[in-house]
Amino acid sequence: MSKQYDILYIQQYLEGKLSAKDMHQLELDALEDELLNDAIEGFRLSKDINHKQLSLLQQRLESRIEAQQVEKNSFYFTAQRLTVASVAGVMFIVIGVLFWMISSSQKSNSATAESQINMEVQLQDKANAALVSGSLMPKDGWVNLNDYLSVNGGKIGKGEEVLLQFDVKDNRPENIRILSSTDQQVSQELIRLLREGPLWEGESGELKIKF
Amino acid sequence: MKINKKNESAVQEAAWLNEFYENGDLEVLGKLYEPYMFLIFGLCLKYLKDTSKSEDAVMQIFESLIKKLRVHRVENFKAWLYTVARNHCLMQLRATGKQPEVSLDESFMESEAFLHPDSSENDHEEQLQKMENCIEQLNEEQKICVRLFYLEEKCYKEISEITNYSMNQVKSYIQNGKRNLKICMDKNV
Repeated sequence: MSKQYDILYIQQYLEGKLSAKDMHQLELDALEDELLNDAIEGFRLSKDINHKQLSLLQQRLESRIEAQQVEKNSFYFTAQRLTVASVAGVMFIVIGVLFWMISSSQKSNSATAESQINMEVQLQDKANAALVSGSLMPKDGWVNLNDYLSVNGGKIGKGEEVLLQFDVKDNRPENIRILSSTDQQVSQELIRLLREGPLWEGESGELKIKF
Repeated sequence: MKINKKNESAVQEAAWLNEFYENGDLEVLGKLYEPYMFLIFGLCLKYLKDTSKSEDAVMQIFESLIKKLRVHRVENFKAWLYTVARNHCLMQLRATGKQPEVSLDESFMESEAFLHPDSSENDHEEQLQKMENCIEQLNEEQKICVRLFYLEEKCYKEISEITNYSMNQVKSYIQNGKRNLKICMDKNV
């Protein structure tokens, strides 16, 4: 209501320069408007107020607003900015997790590849049977015999070397004789393997088996 | 015309207030505050009775608006601003150990209903009759001053010349008379 009044008008009122009707109107408004009422009283109490002081105050307000404008840009977080920031944060985390998942699955892939290589190495590292003398011949070939010994001879340690003789009857090894061996258990295991193992051709002979 | 202007400025004020809530732009708050600045200055002069202290207070009040508006949802900016500004001055007085010389009950004199009674004709008649009765119940000084001010629409200066009371006396008779009238009117409703 008091917006239409300014300091000059109020000064004129206080100096008694307004018409009786205008003064009455201002007084009527002041009775309804505490702020206007208090302001008029304040101006009445201090006689030396002029509008220059007010324009100085306005300048102070303006420079205050400009100062805050700079500050605001760095400090004032609106809800919008916070939303953008939190979305960016969530995206960052999701992308981070994705990258982690991808890289860790790559790692496990490479781990299986490595174990596959190890398997191959182990298989390459297989037993080797060779004929020393006589007429012995595995029915399915030496390569298959070696594979059988490698796969089933897990109990026999690496580096064992056994020299043995046997006869063949009905394609089965018989009368297996150990000629030289480092270990009794290895000999027993090898005899078992040969008895249960692949079929043979020939009559008799001497074999050297390396693990 | 005056009512239009008042509504217009109130609408503009509400728009600015919303804008400030949305973006926290001090320029908008400045637009809101500036029209009231001289009134706030006057109010501070009334309480603090010191020009430079009042100038500082005007800026301090602006600062406190920034903080308070981030917390409070304000509907009526002007009424809220008045409370904030007045409390600021009273706090400052309390801090310096001075008691305000202004009686506090002055601020309870508001009564829109008293000056703007309900519109219907019958009601209006009734209200006028009731007000007439209530004016009769006022003491002599208040009765004279209230009649001259509200019914004959004289200004304080004229009333002072007619009655030989000082301007301050006239003002206080009218303020107190108005308050008593409001009490009387409310009692008889």
